[in-house]
Amino acid sequence: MERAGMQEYFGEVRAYFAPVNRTTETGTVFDPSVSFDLNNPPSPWVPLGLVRNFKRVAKSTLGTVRSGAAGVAQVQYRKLTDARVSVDFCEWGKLQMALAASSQHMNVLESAGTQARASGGVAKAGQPALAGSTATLILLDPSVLSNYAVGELIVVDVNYMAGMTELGTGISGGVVETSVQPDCDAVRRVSYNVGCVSAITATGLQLNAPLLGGAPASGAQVQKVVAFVDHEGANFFQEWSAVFALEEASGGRVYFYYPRLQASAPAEETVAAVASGVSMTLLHAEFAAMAATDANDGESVVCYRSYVPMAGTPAY
Amino acid sequence: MQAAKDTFLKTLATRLAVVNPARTVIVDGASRAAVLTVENETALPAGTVLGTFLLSWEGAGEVVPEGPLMYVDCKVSYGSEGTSDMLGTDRGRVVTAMDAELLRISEPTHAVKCDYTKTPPAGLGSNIFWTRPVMAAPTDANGVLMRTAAVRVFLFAEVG
Repeated sequence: MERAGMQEYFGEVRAYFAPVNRTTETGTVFDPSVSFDLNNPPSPWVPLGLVRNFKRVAKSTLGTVRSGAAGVAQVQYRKLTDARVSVDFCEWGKLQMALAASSQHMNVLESAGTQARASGGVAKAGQPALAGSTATLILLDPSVLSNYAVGELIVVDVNYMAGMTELGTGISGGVVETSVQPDCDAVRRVSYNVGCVSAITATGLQLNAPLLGGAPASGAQVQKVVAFVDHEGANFFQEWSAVFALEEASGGRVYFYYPRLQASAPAEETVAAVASGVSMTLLHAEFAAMAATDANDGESVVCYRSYVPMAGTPAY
Repeated sequence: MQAAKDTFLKTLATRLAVVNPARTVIVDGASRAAVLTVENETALPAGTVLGTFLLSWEGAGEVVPEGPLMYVDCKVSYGSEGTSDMLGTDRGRVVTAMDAELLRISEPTHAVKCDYTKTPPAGLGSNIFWTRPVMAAPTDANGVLMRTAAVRVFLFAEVG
């Protein structure tokens, strides 16, 4: 077999994120032995499109045990394990904004406009999602369906109840700030269960993609989302599992898998000029890799690099 | 390099048959997806370039001196004189539709290189890959609106 195949050329870099269970701090496992369709990744991986300026920085440091008057090196040991990664998201979306903002990311709920607030005023009342709703079809009382239109964004989640600490069904989108008494919409303001209405049926709202948190929980309500907002200075840290894939061109594919990535930089943008008077604004994000345990060898690791060679490529 | 050129032609033709099954050309009495290579055809049907993606192979060379990766440039020509129903005024729309088709059949920008002299075609153990088409400004001659697009195709020379 030809050695030329060992010279790899790649196309674009694509990003995929999946939730981390914040209670157990367990990430979503990416298994390179299983086929991963870049255009239709398996659930719960969410495709976040192309990224630019993908940069990995390993900050791990090593120490050396020395002996003798000459200080001859005898053995090395790992003093510190640390890895960082930064990207610019080419696409704007709720999750891209959240990751690039680092703190909680909020849904601006449709309001009556009577009580202005910087992250969205007092919202119009939600409507109950009826039993039998799924992650893609939200059943509602038929009398309220005329309030909705195709193309609108909605959020589907439960009311805030006293005693809740982490907010969001299925995926934690924020924590309760103890100095304030949240209103009943507090969960829906940070929930990731947001979808776009693709059709209105006789019984409910069809969404163009499944809610990330799955079928609505009992007691969930529906409200319209008119914008997204993040704010600098909040306490919550976004934490997600991530896969960055180098698209194959010459044959092989490379994955960089981070079991737990925490956003580690404030909201910034990268501006790329396209033409005079026109620029592309990318969402800049930086992350710190958190530890996870490899189930095969029990080692505590922060990231993986996988290479899937084209069939027939020599190993050495 | 011949296998790379054959693979590029076959890949675009196969994808065009999916993207727009109606875009076909009759060659020697047989209907084919409307992607042809100039050097493969001894006698192109009259007016072939209208409604057909015509590939012309141009310069070639090593990407890095004495390295295994080579390139060969491809010019894709296509055009339209419009439809008689519209008295030719829709020629721009036809060319614009072909622009979109060319972009679609160019993705993904890689394919497994095969030896098409064998039946069935045999994989040669590497990919070819290419740049996205760069479209030049259209030209207008004798009522025909023409477009050319440039694509650079990369291949490993020693494997076919």
